Amino acid sequence: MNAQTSTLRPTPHSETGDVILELRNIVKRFPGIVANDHVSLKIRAGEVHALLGENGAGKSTLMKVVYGLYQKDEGEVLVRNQPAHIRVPQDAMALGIGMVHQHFMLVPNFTVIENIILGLRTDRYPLLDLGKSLERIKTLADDFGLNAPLSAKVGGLTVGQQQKVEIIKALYRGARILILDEPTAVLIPQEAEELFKLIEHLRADGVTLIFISHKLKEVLRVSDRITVMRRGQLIDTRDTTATTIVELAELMVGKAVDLSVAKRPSTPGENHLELRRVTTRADQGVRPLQELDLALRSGEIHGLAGVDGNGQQALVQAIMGLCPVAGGQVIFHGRDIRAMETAERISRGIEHIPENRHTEGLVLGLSVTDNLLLERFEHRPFGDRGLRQFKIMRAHAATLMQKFDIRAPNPDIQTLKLSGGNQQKVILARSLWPDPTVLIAMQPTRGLDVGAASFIQ
Amino acid sequence: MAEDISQNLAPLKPKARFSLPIANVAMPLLSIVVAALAGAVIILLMGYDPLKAYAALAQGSFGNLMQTSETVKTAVPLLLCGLGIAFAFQSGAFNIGAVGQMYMGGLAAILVAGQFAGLPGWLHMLLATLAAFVAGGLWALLPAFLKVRYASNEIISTILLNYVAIYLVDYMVAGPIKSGGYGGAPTSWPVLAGVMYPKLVPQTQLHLGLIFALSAMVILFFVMRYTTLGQRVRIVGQNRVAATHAGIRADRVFLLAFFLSGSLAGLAGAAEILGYQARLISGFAPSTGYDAIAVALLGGHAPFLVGLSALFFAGLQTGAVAMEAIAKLPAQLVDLIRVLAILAVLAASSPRIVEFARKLQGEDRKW
Amino acid sequence: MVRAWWSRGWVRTTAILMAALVVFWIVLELAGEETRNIANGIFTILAAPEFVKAALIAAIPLLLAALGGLISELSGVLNMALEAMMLVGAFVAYTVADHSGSPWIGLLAAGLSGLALGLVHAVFTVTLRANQVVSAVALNLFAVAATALAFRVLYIHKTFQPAPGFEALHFPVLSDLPYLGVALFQHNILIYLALLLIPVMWFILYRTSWGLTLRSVGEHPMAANTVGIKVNRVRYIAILLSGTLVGMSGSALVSASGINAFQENLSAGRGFIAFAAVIFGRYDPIGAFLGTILFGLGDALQIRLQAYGVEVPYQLLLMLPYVITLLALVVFMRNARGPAASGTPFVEEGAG
Repeated sequence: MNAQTSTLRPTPHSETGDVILELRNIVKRFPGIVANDHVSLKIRAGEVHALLGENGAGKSTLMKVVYGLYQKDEGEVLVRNQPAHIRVPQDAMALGIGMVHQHFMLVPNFTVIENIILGLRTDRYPLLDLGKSLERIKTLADDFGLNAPLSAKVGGLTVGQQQKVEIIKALYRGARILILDEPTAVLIPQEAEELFKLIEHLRADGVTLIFISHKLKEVLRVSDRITVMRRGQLIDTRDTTATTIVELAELMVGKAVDLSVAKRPSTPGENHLELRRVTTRADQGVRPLQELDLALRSGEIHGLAGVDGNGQQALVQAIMGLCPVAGGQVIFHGRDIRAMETAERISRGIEHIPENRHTEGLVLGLSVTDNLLLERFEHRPFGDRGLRQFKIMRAHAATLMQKFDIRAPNPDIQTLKLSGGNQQKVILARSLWPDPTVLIAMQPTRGLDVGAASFIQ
Repeated sequence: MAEDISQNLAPLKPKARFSLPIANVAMPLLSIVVAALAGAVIILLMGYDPLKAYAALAQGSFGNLMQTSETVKTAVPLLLCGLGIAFAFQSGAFNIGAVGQMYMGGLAAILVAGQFAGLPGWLHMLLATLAAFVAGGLWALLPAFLKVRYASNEIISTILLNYVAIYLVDYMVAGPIKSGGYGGAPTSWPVLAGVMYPKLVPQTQLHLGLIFALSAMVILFFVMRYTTLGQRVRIVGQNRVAATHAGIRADRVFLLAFFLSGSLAGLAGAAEILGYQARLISGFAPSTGYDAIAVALLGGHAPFLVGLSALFFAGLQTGAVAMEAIAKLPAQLVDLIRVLAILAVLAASSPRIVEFARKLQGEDRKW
Repeated sequence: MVRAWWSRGWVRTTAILMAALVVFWIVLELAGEETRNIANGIFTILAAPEFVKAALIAAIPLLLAALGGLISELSGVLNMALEAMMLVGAFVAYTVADHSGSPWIGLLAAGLSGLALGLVHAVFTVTLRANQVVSAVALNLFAVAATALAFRVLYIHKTFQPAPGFEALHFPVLSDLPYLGVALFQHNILIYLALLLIPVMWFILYRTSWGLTLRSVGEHPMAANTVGIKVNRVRYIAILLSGTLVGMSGSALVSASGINAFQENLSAGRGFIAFAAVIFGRYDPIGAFLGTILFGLGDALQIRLQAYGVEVPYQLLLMLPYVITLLALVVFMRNARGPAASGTPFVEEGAG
């Protein structure tokens, strides 16, 4: 496809206020579930339209249908009042639809430019010597304040910069309708603020934005209209000015929700875990710690703010013994545990909830029982003289499933057959039942809906 | 604890894990039929009679007691190597170095079994077997160590080591341990009297190695199914990172699995030398270690099924001799048909086909 | 960028050579006889232009195979079937050249045979998503059996004869230069074409959007998919191209034999060494070239040592290229980073 139009001037088609994108009775089924159940939606040209809903409500699925990544089972998509046949992303791009995915679709060791032009016929095709195309990319990059050289490898940019690259990539491909899938999930507050400004900028240029989110406040902050989805169905569309956070929360969950969080005042006691000037070595993509001091006292919740890749991973690794500590001390109950193996730390009461449940937390091919006992299947009574005690393990798993409301037909089912929220609860149950002295939770609410998140608190 | 809850649960069939007859049984069988048909076409194109050829194959592999015992004997090294590969696979590693490990096992066996004349026969035999076990294991440990320490790709390093082992055996049988005055392929000195594996049934080729192989099969099944060690191997094999986060030393498990995998292949080398060949011959098992990959694959890496599939590939091998003798097919044509069977098995075990089979069974509900 | 690669490449090659020399010394020490004499002899061998010539001739089949392997690797599909494609290519090149009388037709047919094997590999690994290593192992077994069978059927009753091969070229002036003339300027056309392929491939991979598309599919197939690149189609094309090149490497292998002849299992593991050369050449055509030159030097030395009558058993010398390759892998794999999606099949979302 050819991206020749050189500015972001509104095209004659998209008179502000007209319906630019219309979905009629979209149905998308996956094995066992209906992800989109007869969803009909109208998006107006030039508006910022928020799609609000809990995880698994079907927002992303709906937009992936629009973008041609999924094939709809029923229904119609109309772009500028014309029936659109979108089978592959290229079809969507040709119609001026772009999408920025929650997990960026950028090749880390390609440069910014290479990522932007990937799959396109540029000025001097097939040469990578871009000629005129380069000028346009430069203009876009300057316009949207990408503070990074175009020849830099994307993998080395900050998350905020990467997101801008994604947006520029879509605009360069002629996107007039831009879908942003959970764009703030990976950003620190300052970066999110910058994104909101960028959204304003895009709207001023006449770009229609579809903003997928499950965060009530930011939806109210940036959007013109809000559509709420729940369990694959479209619940309602409201003007942002005519709705409230409480109303939206109710639409989203389907019942009244108490959004205030009750916290017991804690009485911090003695130091359980102390890090003294801990330094780690840089290791593939993990930012190292430099002389970090930290003390965790009993009964206290120690919040660590910061965005992905600012050392949280290294911190967890240092505390759990997953990487060698180059300098400093890790003191647990008065004893330096740097040389202690991970398994022993766990059995002494240091638990953690890994950041990524699929890669670090769970063995998806194994049963719920196996995953609930991933750290303790060799301990008595679950393993006795090297033999696994199936009955005890299974009963234990059943108890935990009930206690933590893990919804599965039985403890023997493969973990990959559980929904994301239930999978996360498996990890929670695993690290909470031994009643740990220290619990390190990396993004523990990821993938949980409002209801489940409140359970954790 | 919480007995009441566990009683409320639906009773679980003990073999829930193996409830996929289409994917596990029907598809592999179908693939073999397809391979047989394709083989028939090639036989026909080459100007031979496929019916006659397959009749000879059946006759030669399981036609009578003699032939069957021959097939079972042939299955022994295939089973041992196949179990080793399956075990390594369970731990998430691909061991395609069984050829080299088996050669080193054979070499170690003959080094011990051809010397030290004074030892009691049974002890001598045991020591030779043990030497093979350790030699095969160490030969596998080398690439595993390189992988853990230097992140070297274990697939390519095991293959390179196969060649090194083959040339090393060539060198040994032509030099340091060669036998005096023997025509044809270079061979080593013979296994000393009384050190060969005893025959299980007189007048057949069945020897002690069969007991080793069957024991390995049962032990492996037991370990994977009932022990915490097996669980540890499985966890590492399915998700190394999660295993590490749960406090399992994944590298150690990997090294152990590779060592045992190689040991079993080494044992296969011993079984060939001490059970049957009585001396080390240059190129004594050129493709057993590769065929064993297909054996493990066809058996779905489950010990008992690996046993069955070893028998199947052994049948192809012994039947091949009959095809050559009775139906006059060239030996290489028979090799080709065996490769077709391997390809068919690979196709049948591929995700695309397995998904298809599961869909036929309606097995993809999500919770 | 190029310069950086070159300098690093040379550093690497020198280090590999040093390691190789150390290995040689150990072997010689073990042999233990007249070490000094032998060392003198070796020096004479190394100083002769024929040594470089032989090394280049030995390296070229591997170079073609490695470049072919590289294309497939970059697209995210392991091609360990290099060995199979090379062997079948060699057989076809020999047979067709023998029957048609033209090495060019032989070369073309070899390419086509490699393409056919590539198609099988692609069906198994891309469409069926079967294990890429097992597919290659099966193809390798197939190649050994099929070429042995066909060779037997076609040639069992004939007297052996070499096939027509590519003639050595003679350049005015250049070919008559002292040392360099023999070492570099008296080769056949295939060798120069293969060398020319190095910059051509480098350019296509890193300076055209075709190369970008190919690499994106190996690095991040999902990202490629979202911008409309047909991941599996690109992989098919990559494997087919790879097969064609590797098949042609068989032709180079036949002509490297010096007498343009085929014998059973002619490739003898060279495909795997080419595969390794891709890895320690860091997935780069120039690096792959240096890797294969290393092998060529080892091979040429090995043959000369045998001919020189060194008291080292020839089996141990035959082992040497594999040992050197293994060492090189260990030394240079440490920071080598292959395509991120290497070895993993791509499933389009929502396809089911």
